[in-house]
Amino acid sequence: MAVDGIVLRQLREARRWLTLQQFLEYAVWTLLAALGVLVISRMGPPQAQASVPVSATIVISIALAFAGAFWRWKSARVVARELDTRARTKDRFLTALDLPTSDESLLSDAARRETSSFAARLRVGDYLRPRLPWRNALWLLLPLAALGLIEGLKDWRAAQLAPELASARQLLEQARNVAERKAEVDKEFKQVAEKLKEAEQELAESSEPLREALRTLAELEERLSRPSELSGAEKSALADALAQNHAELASDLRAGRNAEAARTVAQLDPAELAKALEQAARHLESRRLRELAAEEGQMVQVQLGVMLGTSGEFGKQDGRRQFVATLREMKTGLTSTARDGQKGAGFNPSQRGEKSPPSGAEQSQPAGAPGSEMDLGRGSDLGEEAEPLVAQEGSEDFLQGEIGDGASLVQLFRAAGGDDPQARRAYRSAYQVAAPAALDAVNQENIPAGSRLLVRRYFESIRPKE
Amino acid sequence: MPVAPSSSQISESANEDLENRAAEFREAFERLRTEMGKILVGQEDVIRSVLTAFFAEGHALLEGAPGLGKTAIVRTLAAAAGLRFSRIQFTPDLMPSDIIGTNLIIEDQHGTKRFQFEPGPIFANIILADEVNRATPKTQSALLEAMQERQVTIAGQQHRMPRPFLVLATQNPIEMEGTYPLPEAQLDRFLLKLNVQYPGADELHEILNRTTREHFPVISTVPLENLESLRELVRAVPVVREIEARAVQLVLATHPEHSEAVPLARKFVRYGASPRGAQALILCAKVSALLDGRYHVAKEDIDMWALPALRHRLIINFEGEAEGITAERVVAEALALPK
Repeated sequence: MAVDGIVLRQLREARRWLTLQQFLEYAVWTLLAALGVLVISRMGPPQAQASVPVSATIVISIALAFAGAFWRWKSARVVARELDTRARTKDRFLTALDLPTSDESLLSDAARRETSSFAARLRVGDYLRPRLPWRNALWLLLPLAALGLIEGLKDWRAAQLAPELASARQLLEQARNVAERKAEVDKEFKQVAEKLKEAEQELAESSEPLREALRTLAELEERLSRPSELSGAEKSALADALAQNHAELASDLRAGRNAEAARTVAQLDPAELAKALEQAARHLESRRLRELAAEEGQMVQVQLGVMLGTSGEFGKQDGRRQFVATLREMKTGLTSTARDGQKGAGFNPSQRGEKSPPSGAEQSQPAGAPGSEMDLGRGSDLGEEAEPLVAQEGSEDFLQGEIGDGASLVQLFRAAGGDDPQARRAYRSAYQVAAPAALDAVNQENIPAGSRLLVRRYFESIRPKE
Repeated sequence: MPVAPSSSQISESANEDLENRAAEFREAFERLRTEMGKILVGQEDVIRSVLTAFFAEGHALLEGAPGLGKTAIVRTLAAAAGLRFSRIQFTPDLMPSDIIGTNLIIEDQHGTKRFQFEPGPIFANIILADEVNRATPKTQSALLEAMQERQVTIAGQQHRMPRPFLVLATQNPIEMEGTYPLPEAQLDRFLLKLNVQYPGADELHEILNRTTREHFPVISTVPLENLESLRELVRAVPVVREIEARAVQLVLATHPEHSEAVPLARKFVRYGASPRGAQALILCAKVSALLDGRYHVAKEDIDMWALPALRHRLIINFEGEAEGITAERVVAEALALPK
């Protein structure tokens, strides 16, 4: 004799109620966990936020709760046990399920009849009707409140950042437009344009969009800036590295025939060139050559060509210089307006390509100067010469050259952005040491009276902020 | 011409017969309880347990201080059931033959002498072994075969006990000097061990009211012609495996070496309950189920009997005795296990 139909029907109903109740309980906990994850991800970096979408998290947690509830009450025996306990049936459902079908004794039959008639009278819903777990559900308010707070703060911050974001976007967009125009001549600008586009897209998630934009431009500027020429030792080391396979090139390098050498370099395999540079870098322990060797693809040839001080095929350098100059003008325009309390006004396109006359404020404190409001930690920043002054290796402290008819020896304060990105001395301490001597010089040296005020104002402008 | 009954008619008739037997069982139980209640004041749990042992064909050990009505319970049951009652007062000088009987030399009218078995007081339906722990182990063990096998062997000849046969032993937890604790093997043969408690104030008033007047209450005999049939009915009550598992769980929980043992058992029990313990649980649970109008056993029926059916089967070790751990505490911990 099989299990009684009434008993089975009641067990199915019990399973429905129990699954629903279990689902509600599990759903609270899975939602709590999911919301917790969301809150944590919202507090984390923007990349993590993108990987945890809210709707998917909620759907997954609810699906997990349902699957868990269904699995929990899968077995009829488990349902019978729970129903017996809750409805105090004295194990009638368990007995009805477990009575051996082969046992047809009078008392077993009587037990089946009794359990069946009991099951028919029982209103399962009275004992198993699900109740919302309010007490546990209250915990959901915590992550919800936290989410609301975080989102509210974000909205508020986004509203605050909107003008800055617009101005940063405009800046990058203009730089990209320039780069795209230059890409027709120099393909490298295509990569530059793409990088600018990526940076523009990433601005939306930045908490400091203007700073991000300026940093991007500074990186490009640094990358495109003309590097200093190769020193004799570097040329010699490179010639040694190339001597075996490219004797002619090695000979040109040693003889100082830079133009010929640059033309040969342009035809070499970039990988082979990089290998030679690496070898020369190891020989000289030169960090500059090692970085040059690490440049991607044809950039090795381009950079090396530039460092050999050529023109012609590498006249693209002029385009780069112009672009770098444009970037600087953009930054200058943006930062000067920001400094003048016109933050968000953005760069005026009409100024592009034209060096605007410095304002009074710029004269007193150039934007980007060390200690200034917009200091990005780079020496080749706003207000500097178009060509950054970077010392060659081996002459790190003094730069020799000619001014007019005579030779000159200039002491360098190296800063981040040169070959050595680590400033060796804090600007403030360096200034404090140099300032008294500079003031003495201004007062004692034979400086024309008309220029003395200008020199004094210069030193005031480079004084670090308190 | 008579028509042969169909199978469904036969089935209905059998079901009706079963219902009648179940009703008869409940009525007999209730009537015996009512009649015993006329004499005994309070002690309802003890009365119900003694009657359960009676219908489950088991023996019971009653433990309590003197004067609590232990002997009266047994006497009253015998009187109410209309069964032959025998009382054996256990003393240190009691011999086994004083209980089970002996062979006497009898001379017939022709002068021939022969042995004739003279049955001892154990040959009765209900035996009251009063203060059973006062006899020597040798005498106590005379009860063993009778209790378990329901027969005694004298001079190689077996003598069956009359049916029904129920031993109700009493022992006194105080005045332990000069007593012989019951051997474990004998203790295990008792289906239940019942603790007789002191009556409360109301019950004492009622006892005084009933026993200090000129008229004693009179009890009437409950006819038990179908007692054997009713006992068979009890044994036929089905128990499904998962319910049976509760009895197994409780018994194994008292075994210190078993993985399911409760912490107290692991630490303080020397020997756990024997398989007879599980049998006792199931039999008593079946009686309870029938009394409740059910034809199946529930876990709570088993739990209800755990204490009286298991407490005398556990042997507490030395550390347990020193710590004051009782078998009741171990069983209570086992009962707290999830069903």
